[in-house]
Amino acid sequence: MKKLLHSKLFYIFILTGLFGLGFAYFYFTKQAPITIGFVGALTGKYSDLGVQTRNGVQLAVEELNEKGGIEGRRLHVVYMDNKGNVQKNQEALEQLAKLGIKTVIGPLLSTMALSSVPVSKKHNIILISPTVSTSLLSNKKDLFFRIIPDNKKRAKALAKYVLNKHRPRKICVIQDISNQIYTSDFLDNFLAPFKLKLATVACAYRYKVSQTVPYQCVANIKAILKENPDLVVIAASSADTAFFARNIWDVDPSIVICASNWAKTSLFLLGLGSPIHTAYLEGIDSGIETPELARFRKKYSDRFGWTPSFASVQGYDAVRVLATALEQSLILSTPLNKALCDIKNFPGLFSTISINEYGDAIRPTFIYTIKNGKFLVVRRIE
Amino acid sequence: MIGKSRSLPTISQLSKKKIVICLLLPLFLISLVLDIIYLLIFIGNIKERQILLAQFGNTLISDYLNSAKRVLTIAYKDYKNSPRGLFLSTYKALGVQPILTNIFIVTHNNRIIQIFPRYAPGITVYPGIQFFKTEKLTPHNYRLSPPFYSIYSGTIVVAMAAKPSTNDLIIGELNLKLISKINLNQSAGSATTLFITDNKGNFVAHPIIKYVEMQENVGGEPWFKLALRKPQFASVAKHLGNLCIIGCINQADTNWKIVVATRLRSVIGPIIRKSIIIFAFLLLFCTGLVAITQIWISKNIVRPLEEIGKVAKETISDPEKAIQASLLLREKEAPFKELEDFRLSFLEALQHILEQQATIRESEIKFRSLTENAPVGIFIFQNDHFIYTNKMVEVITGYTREELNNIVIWELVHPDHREIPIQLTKIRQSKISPPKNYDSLPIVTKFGEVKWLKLSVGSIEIGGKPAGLGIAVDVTDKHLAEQEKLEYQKKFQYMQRMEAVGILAGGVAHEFNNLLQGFGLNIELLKSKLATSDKKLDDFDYYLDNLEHLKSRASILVESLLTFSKRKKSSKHLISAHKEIECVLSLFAETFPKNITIKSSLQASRDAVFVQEGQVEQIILNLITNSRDAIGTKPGTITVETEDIYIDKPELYKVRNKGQYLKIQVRDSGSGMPEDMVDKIFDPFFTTKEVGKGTGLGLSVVLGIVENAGGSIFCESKLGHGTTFTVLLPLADFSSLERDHMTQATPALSDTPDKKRLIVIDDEEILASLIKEFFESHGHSVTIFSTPEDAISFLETHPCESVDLVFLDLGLPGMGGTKCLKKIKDMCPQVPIIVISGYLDHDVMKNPEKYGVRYCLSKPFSTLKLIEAVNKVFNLE
Repeated sequence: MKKLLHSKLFYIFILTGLFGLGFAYFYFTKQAPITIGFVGALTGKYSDLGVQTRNGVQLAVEELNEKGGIEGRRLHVVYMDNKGNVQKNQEALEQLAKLGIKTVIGPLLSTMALSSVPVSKKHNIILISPTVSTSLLSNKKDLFFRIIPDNKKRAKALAKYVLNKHRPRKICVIQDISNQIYTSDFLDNFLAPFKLKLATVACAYRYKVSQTVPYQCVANIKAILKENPDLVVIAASSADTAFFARNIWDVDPSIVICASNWAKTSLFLLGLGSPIHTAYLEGIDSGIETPELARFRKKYSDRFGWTPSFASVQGYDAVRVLATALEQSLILSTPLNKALCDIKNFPGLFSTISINEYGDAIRPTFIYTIKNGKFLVVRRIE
Repeated sequence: MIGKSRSLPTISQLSKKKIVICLLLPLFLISLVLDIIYLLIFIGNIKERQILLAQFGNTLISDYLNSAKRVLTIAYKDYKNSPRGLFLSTYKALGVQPILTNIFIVTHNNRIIQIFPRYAPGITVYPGIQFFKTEKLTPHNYRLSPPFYSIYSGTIVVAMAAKPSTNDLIIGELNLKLISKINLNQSAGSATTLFITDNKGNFVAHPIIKYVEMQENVGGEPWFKLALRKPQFASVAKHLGNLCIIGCINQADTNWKIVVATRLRSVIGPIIRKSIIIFAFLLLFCTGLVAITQIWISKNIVRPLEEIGKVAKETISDPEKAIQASLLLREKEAPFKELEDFRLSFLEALQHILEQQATIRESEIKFRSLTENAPVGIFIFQNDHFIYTNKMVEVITGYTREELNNIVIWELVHPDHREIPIQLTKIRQSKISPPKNYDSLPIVTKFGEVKWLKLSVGSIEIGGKPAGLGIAVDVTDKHLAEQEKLEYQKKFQYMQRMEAVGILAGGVAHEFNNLLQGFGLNIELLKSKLATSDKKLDDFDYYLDNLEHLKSRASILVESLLTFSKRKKSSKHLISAHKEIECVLSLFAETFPKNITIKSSLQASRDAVFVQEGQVEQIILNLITNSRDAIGTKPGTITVETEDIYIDKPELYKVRNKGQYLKIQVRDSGSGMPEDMVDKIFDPFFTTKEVGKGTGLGLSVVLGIVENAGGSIFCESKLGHGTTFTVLLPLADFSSLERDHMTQATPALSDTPDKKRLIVIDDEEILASLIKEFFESHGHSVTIFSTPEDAISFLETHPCESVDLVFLDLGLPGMGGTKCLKKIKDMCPQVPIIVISGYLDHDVMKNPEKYGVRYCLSKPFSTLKLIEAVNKVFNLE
């Protein structure tokens, strides 16, 4: 033992070992990835939304990690499939909480969001939704953040535009009650200005999406058209909205169709077929193909073989916004929720993103019509 | 003890270590290397296998796709033949193998008609159409979409589109579950999976259907990017978080990737297991080997060595036991040559050691005897402490050995003499130094006594460190004696000086005596002549008396000097003590300092004492002189008192006899003396004064006078209260003395019938002529010779009968008085000789009978003495 203690090699070995341990400690602790969660419908009828958002998130994370991550730390995402089910969504959040995850991108549907908030409160998890727009979660001091403005302003803006332009008197409503939280919220806010102007809701068709194509609904559509509405407002998915719009125009091409942002996809345009008559939608896309947006579209297509959807862009932007807030939080040692509230005029791919003190997004709203098979911005509302 | 063995490993441990290092470890490393090589080869084989499996999968996929294409062709034919028809052929085909779940026709006006599984010509919105918008399709090829969720199939599908005619597009949704069911377990094991992705990495088919349903994508994995560049790819890469051996081939028609992945863990696992088993076997083998080796080593090497070691240890602790053990060892033979050689060498060495031990023991006994019985202190010191002391050191210092071991050595040294010993001790303990001697060093013993030691200190090495070795001799007595000697030498020198002074004084006194002799005789003769003349003696009496008194005084002075220088033995007389006291007081009181008052109270009714003349004076003089010195410069009083007392207990007063005594007290108001000094004041040479200021003889002389007179002297003194000396002198008994001494009638020269013929041999002409005159006045004839040679010549030439009496002075020039005496005795033994001399110490004066001398006359002598001497000589005849 004495010989060992007098041995230089022994001390060199010890020092090297200590150095190595220290280096490893600093290296790994410094390089310990930041783990966040993602929760969305990756399977089931809403998987399209979930997968597209996930892919946008994945692409953003890969880009971020290629650049060195956040303060030298890689970002790692644990993806959870809530199958579009409220209970599964809560279970997914509980599982993420067990893994010690404190930040989750998602949920993506308003119904999921409402059930997520209590869980987030319980486990102190920050939720950042790329797509949830129910106004029921607006102006609340909670841990729910989003990068899309709520329906209230957008739906009202669409209604006012249509009201001013077409002054409809009779309105029919088509609502997918499978996503009732969202669709009701949209419709309530949309119809509010009409009620003031004494327009009436003459008819309504509420349906629940099943696995099959709703071509059985054609009869129901024809039934409501008997009321001769001036305007049909559809709160449904893009495929369903396209289906309903096509069938309505086939009967009466003069009917103005209004739809929510949910329907604003290329699939909607595809499904509409031709000819396309008067239709208006709302959204947050400025319609300008910026270089960043063009680069993103290409990169996404090259990466996944798909054309990125609205959800892809939102997923991508959600990660970027979160990364910015995380960076600020790490540098300034401030809580993440405060850092998120400090996001102002963030350059999103569609438009600038600001988040207020309630975690609600402040972005311009755009009203679109369809022309030459494409969406055309007719109004911008800040 | 040389020291305990370091923590060395035992032979068993060494052998174990050697087996581990030289056998087990190499075997293990070799096994590991072989395993690695095997693994690498195995992985290589697996890679090849993966490619083969992928190719197998590719074949299956190709068949599948071809079948799907065929079905689409059949479906289109059915559609064309009967647009609203039953599509029997299609159903039949898909009934056999449900490759397609849904089939759509996209018409020229972009209307989509579902024709399978049901015919639905109504409005159909088909999301899959978006994948084929830009595709350039010909009747001969088909295109595939990426996997997507189909609301029609309710699952993830890949749409296959073909353009059978210019206007129409037929799209079928592939049943991916069929593809996913390709099972490789039987051929490759459960750890191997075959999956298919499109060229973007989207799962098309996977045994874990969840990956397909969740539309997972592996396009970002590094191996995929590499696989894209090659038609065939095989490597070890990370896939879905696990290290896998991946083999990938490109499906030419579709650009799908047929991938076979085997988890590396499943490949390495068995190899590792095998390695563990082999290693365990090796370990077991080595353990067995170690155990056997250890047993053998223990029995044949360790045990014999331990026995030898035991003997070696006993050699140290108990040589007797060692001898016995070595005898036993002699009988035991080692199991192998090397150990046997060692045993024999050890025994030889042991023998030698035992002999040496005996020698050393003997030597030690001798050494111990020598040191312990040595009459000198022997010690060894190291680290400032004694590590060995012999008995004599204990005797000298008073400390026991144990106490000495705990003392710092220089603490024994007297504090006033420590400085140098400390330094020298330190030096000697730091390095070997030459021996050094110390003639005398004071130490303080345990009991506080100061002793002087003569030391001789040298150096020795003990325990590898310098130590001091010393010998100490107690020279305290010698030292004190030397000191005393020095003191005595000083005093002796002073005494010698005094003696020289005494001799000088004696010489001067003697010469003076001669003068006084002549002086005295002249006075007597003058008195005698005047008495016979008609002149009145009274007229001259006073002057003659004065002259006589002065001569007496001068004689007394000379006598005192001679007494002091021990040249004359004085004779006692009846003396009036009061007279002498008064004389001293009157004479010396004037010379005393003015601050001292002298009082006297001579109350004794009797004061006659039998002492030498002047002795009482001397007593009083010495005592008052001491009193004067004691008073010093302060005002003081000296009181002299006398009384006569009767002593009936002489032992109480340290006197010889009962009787009447004269008590003389001299009291002073001086500083007094401490009690312990009082006993010493009568010691010769005891003085509190500086050398030269007093000889210390005064009181001893007083004591001598007093004791000689049969008296005693006492001293009472107290510091600060003065001193009182009390002298007791026996008063003279007149009845016994009166007859002999009190009245001294003038003796007459005995009448002789005939005139005597006298010769006087004396170089003092005056004395000789006076003697001649005296005797001639009485009718005798006197012949004077001033030299002994003349006298001898006369006697040689004249018969001895012509001389009746010879007066011979011993202090003659030439041959000297003694030789002259001998010659005269030789020549005329019958002639009586009276010797005259002032030297009382002369042998002739001390032992006149020896030289045939009839009478000795000591100068100065009176005519009475002269008459007495002559009468005695002639009366004895």
